[in-house]
Order: sequence, then C-alpha cells, then structure tokens
Amino acid sequence: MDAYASLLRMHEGAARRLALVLCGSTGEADEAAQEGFVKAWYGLAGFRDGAAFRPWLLRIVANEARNRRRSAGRRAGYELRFAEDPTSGGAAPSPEAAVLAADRRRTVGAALAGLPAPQRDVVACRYLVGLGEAETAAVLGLPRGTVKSRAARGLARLRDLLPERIEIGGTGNA
Amino acid sequence: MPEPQDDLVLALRELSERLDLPPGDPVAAAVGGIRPPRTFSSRDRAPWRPIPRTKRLLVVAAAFLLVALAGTLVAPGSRHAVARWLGIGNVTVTYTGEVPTAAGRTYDLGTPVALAQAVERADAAGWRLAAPGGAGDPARAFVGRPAGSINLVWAPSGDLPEIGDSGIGLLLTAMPGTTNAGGMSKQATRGTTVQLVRVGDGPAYWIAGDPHEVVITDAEGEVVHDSARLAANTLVWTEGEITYRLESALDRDAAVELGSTLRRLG
Repeated sequence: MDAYASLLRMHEGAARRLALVLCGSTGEADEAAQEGFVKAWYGLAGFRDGAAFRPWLLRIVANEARNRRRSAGRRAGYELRFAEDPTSGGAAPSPEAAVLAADRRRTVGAALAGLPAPQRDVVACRYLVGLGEAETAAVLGLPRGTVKSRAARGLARLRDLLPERIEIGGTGNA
Repeated sequence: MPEPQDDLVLALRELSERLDLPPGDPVAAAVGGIRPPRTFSSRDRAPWRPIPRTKRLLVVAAAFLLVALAGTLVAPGSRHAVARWLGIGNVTVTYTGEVPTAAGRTYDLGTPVALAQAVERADAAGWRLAAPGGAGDPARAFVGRPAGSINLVWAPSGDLPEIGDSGIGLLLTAMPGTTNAGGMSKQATRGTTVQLVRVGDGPAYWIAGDPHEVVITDAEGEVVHDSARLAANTLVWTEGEITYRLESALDRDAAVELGSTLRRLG
C-alpha cells in the first residue's frame, strides 16, 4: 500500500489538476481524484503490462471527473479559482499589477467556462494540465487528430469569448 | 513541430500556474479507504516536466496592463480607477475601487407605456420584444432608458422576491445592439463576482455579490449622470442582436432557468 501511495504522489499534482479542470468545481475535484485513485487500485489487475502508468491513471481520474460533471447537470456552473500573486518579496509584482493579473486570470478563466465541454476538456488538458497531444488523446480517449482539431477550435472560440477590450494580442514594454 | 506559443496559450499557462487546488489530500484519503493490501509492480515513466515560465509572459502582462489602462480613458466615470471590462452586447462591467455609497436605489426606467405600445415600438424599430415566459406577464413597460431600449417590470410574488425595498420583483431590459442605441456600464467593486454561465446555447454573465452601480450611456456615448443606481444580482446575455439584462433577487440557477424561458411578446 505504501508503494501505491508513493506512486500516486508522483502523479498527484497532474491528477488533481486534471480533475479540477474537467469538473470545474473545487468541491468535486478532490473527490473525483480520490475516487479515481481507488478505482485505479482495484483496476490494477487490468493494467496492460508494458503500458505507461500515468496516462492510464489520468484516464481513470478524467472519466470520474467527467462523470461527476455530467451528474451535476448542464446548468452546474464551471468555475475555476486562482491563487493571488505573492504580495511581498523580491519577485512580487506591484499591488496594481497583481490586481490586473488576478483580473486577467478571472477573465480568461470565465471565458474558458464558456467553451463547449468537448473543446474545453482538450484545451484544459493541453494548457492547464500541461499534457501533450498524445497524452491528452490517451487520457480523454480521443484520436490524436481530434485532440488537435478541438484544441484549435477551442482556442479560436476562446478568443471570440474574450471581451473585445481585453485583447490577447499586442505588444508592450514593461 | 514546435508548440504554438501565442499570447492566449501563454495566458492559459499562467492560469495553470495559479490554479487554486482544494486543500485536501486525496491520495491519503484514497489509500486510507482501500482495505485489502496487495502488491504490484510499477512500469511507470518519467514524471511530467513542468512548463517553464518564459519572459514572454512579462510582455503579455505588460500588454494587458496597457490595454486596461488605456481603457480607463473611455469611461469618464472611472478615469480615476484602474479598470477592467467584461462585455456582452451593450453591457460592460468596469471594476473600480468602490461604488459611491450616495447612489440610491432609484429606478429611472424611461417613459411608461402600455405593454402593447412597447411591443409596437420594438416592431417599428425592426426587432421583436421578448420576455421570460416563466415569469408571467410583466406588470409595467417603459421605453427609452437606455436609448432604444425597453424595460419590463414584474411585481414581487412568491416566485419573485422583492429586490431590496424597490417594489420590483424582476426587471428585464431589452437593448437592441444597433449602433445608435445606448448602453449600460456596471461599475463593480471587488466584492462583486462575475461568472460566465449559459442561457440556452449562448454565453451569459452572472453578476452577483455586492451591489454594483449601473450608469446609463446615451446614444452619443455620453454617461448620463442623473440616474445612477445600485443593482442587484444580474444576468446578461444576448439573443440575436438583442442584449437582455435580467435583474432580480433570484439566485444564479433560478435566474438562468428564468432567462431560458425567453419568448416573443405580441
């Protein structure tokens, strides 16, 4: 059991992030991750010899998270929360910059919530969890080409959903 | 093929770094809940390599800062504030340091007309007035605030709690998205939350929490100073060219459900 816990610890961060971005609910995320870990334990006998453990584990967690989201119903809100910037220390931004950064995070997070779930799942796996195309395909059970097209459409739709006056493009000097 | 590194991707990765995970320990909880001990062999691979923070993120942050600061010049009432906008249709949300406490809960909704006249007014302007069927027939109709818009009012009832002490249970503002129409700016404090939700198949904003100030903008884009008021929980969405703004004392889910019952009048 200690070995299993140690193995889970290696992937705990990715699994919890994955559960959170797929559920869109802080309250549900850890329960989905926990349930996924338990199901993975009992499913170890079916784990294909020679396969990578991480995508196998993450796929179980992803299924659990998406099932919970579906159970919550279509009107359940999708809301991610973001930590504030540090308020002190050498690398800390100015209070004004910290406020703007927090607002920007909330704005982009809110726009992410407006994506259709299939596109949001792919965008979230790719850019919020940091999975590669192949691993996203494995975790979500999709062909790699579908991951690529949904990511492209998701990013394009995200740009449409962002308010015009919060432009993503442009350059500036700090 | 190299990974695209445009600004939106960088902004998403910044989100990733700041994702607020719940404080629990699902590993301990899971392992503690597994009773039968068993052994297994790990064929695990190297853990995921974290994404490095790049210098371009600083450029993106600076760009956002410039956009936000430039935007404060647009809204005269908020020049003093570092602001940001969220916008749907004719409604924008501006975050300011504070909402003036002197603003009263007055409702200058325009010129009162019969409901049939309001429907005719919309028809004449080339759009169809709609209202949430789930709320029943509106009690009053007003036109002209903001320009080209129609306000419909429902009295408080068992399903529509009174908004504060306003005598109003539900207020729906329908604003055509034409260039000669005015708009609303909502000045919110940090105690106001804005959530993106869905009404039907489209995105909508749910604005709740601390009361937020509503300032009407006229057809020329000038802020009208005589009608500032504090608003309750508000749902904002668009259908076609029309922006709908639903203000009530309902919670989010009830407001979304009500907004989803929108149907044409007349």
